[in-house]
Amino acid sequence: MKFWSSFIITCCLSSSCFLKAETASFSHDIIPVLEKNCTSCHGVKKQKAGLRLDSYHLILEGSENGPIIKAGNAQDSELYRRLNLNPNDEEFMPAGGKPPLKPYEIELIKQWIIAKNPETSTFTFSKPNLPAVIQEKAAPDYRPKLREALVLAEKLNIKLVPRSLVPTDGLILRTASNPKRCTDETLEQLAPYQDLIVEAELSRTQITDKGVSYLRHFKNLQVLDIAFTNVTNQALESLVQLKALKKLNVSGTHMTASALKHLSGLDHMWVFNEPAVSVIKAHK
Amino acid sequence: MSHSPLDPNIALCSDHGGEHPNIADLPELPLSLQKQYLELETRRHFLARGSKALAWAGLASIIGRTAPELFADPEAVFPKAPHFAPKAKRAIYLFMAGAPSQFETFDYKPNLVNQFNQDLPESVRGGQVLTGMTSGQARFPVVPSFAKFSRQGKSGMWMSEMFPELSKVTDDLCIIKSLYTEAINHEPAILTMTTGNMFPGKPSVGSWLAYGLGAINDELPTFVVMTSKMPARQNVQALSNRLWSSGFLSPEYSAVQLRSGAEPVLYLKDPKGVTSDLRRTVINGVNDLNRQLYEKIGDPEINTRISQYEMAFRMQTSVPELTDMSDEPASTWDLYGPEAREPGTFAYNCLMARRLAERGVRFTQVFLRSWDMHSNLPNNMRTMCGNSDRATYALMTDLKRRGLLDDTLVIWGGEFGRTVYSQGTLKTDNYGRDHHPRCFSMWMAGAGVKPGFSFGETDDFSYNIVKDPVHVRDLHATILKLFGFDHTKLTYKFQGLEQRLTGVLPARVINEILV
Repeated sequence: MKFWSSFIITCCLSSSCFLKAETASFSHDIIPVLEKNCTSCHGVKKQKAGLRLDSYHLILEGSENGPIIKAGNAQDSELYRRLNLNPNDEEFMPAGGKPPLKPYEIELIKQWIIAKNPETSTFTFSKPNLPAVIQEKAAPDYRPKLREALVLAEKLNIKLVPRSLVPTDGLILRTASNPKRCTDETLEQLAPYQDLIVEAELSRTQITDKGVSYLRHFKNLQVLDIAFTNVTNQALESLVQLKALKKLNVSGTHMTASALKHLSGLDHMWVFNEPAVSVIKAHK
Repeated sequence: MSHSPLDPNIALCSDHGGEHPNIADLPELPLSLQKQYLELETRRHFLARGSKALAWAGLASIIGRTAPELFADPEAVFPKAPHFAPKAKRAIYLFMAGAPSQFETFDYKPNLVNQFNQDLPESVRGGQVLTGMTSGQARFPVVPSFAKFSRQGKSGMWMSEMFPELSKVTDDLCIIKSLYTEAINHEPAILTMTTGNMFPGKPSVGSWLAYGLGAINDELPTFVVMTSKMPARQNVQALSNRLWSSGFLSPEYSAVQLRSGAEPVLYLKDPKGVTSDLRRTVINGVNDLNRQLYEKIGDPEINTRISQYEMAFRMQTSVPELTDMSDEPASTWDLYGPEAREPGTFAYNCLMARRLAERGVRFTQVFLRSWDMHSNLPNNMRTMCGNSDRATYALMTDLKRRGLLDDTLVIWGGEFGRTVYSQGTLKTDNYGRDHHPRCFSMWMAGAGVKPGFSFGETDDFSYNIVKDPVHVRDLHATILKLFGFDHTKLTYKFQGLEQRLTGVLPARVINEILV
């Protein structure tokens, strides 16, 4: 309860968040939430605690411990109460370490119960908009091009690894095993997959300004590490093209702090040139 | 009793956990392909390297999943990948073995000054069982910290005068004052911190990360451990490789110990009179024999052995490059100080940890021992803090200015706390403190951790936690979260359980300390 309420408060306090009224219905909106989160244990195959959540009438029948819904009163409804417990609580649902319901899913169930849970008629649902970052896709789905991309990566002696198992989190271009094998040509050849690459780890590679000029088309690139390469201020005109770029590491390159002032849109930038040390940290 | 999903008439043994029949049960497949499948399947090994992708793709069509189907399933293609986008790519864990006192370091208790030599109220102790080292004491006299505290940085956190250098980066630290553990003695407590369990045999944190994430740099080990020379020797605990062992995970996920001295990794050098070519020939021969053995009996440990021979061979090149610090600029030595030039010192190890992080080593654990101060605490504290303060600050600063702190998690701490009451004779300028598992302080910094932030509170005697307790399991769950893992899903099947770092008891990700 504490966790979710603080989460929702945080969401609502941020300026990007507002409440939006929509209409919802049991069959269109509640059933998909239950199917996604609940019916693997409370459905056709298994009926833990004698409970099924796969149809309206079965929900009203409740579990072997009694009813789980008190029409019009979410707080006194067992279903709603358990969804809101601390995930470490023994009674928390979904049980067994499965992920908790999303705040808007819990809110949906709450408002359905408050609306005296109609089966067929619609009810008003005020959907708390989640911060955009949660839904944001870093890159297009990597799966359709994955096979070809991995074949090319092997040929080029670099690695393309996923940022995560979420296919829209993008790929990381990784060169640490053998940075000297990565040259400007490597980056040129990665063009077919440039949209998928969100991080490029290119420190200590052979790349030059020419290589960075190929990177200008990597429109989803968020993190670029070109530390300890021979890149110069000439690369700046390419770097400013990278609209998604958030972090840039140019430590130990020939770039100068004054030239990098043009890249003021970044969250973080590191510049570390010998012998002078300068750290620029700009916030959006 | 469950049934095979392929054929409902086939009952599966319950003690096999109801696995599907494996490929070896399908006699129509060519034996060579079955073997290849098992090799690839074992320990999520397949596709760890690109060449295997092709082998697997070919195989996929035979076992009923077409290549496109297979590549639609990221978990099948990438056996080593985080569940969600991580904040941390690597970690450096500065392990202060022996348990530094929280009173003189991070848990400021100003009211204790007025209670010098007064008896600890029984209500605070609450009947807690003490160690044999102090349970016989007639009195439990309260002793305040000899070290002074002051507010530092924009965050204004209270920092001890024991850490004048580290205080300069106060605003980068996230201090947790409410850790607790069940273990009251060093070995089980250190094991709990490093492996999540006080019984030996479990994989350590670094091994879990190596298992879950794989290497960034194939030329170096994924998990490295270093022990440091001690400036003082008091109640020094033994460190053994069970603290950095991979337990039931494949041995390739154990840490490689980087030593000071002429041979950073033991047995890596070619013996006198043996050329590199000859060595290569010998390794090829041994690998051939191992492969033959594998074909006969199919034990996956044999493949591990082959890969470890290869790793050792690659390290013959990568380790000398790593340990040759002649490429470090003068500013490095200005930062870390002259001690960093002496291999094996804590300062040298901190610098090495930065070099490892830079080269993509996932987890580096540096041990510094001799924090176990049952007596003569003020003097020993001055020595230990004096020895480690500058190096710790230097590492933080170095990571920061090279742009590494942003995705490197730094962890500092021991295995438990110490008592508010003095052990042994209490003098105005001298005292000791016994073990205390009920609360202790640590700090983390970098990758995804809230900077300039203090979390958790203890009572006026730093005896009991009064707000936001953090169990070691919670800390581990939080570390895994920073690396992109749901701690309940990073598992390995062993002894009938889906084993995990956080074990079977409840563990909570401390979201409050995350950015």
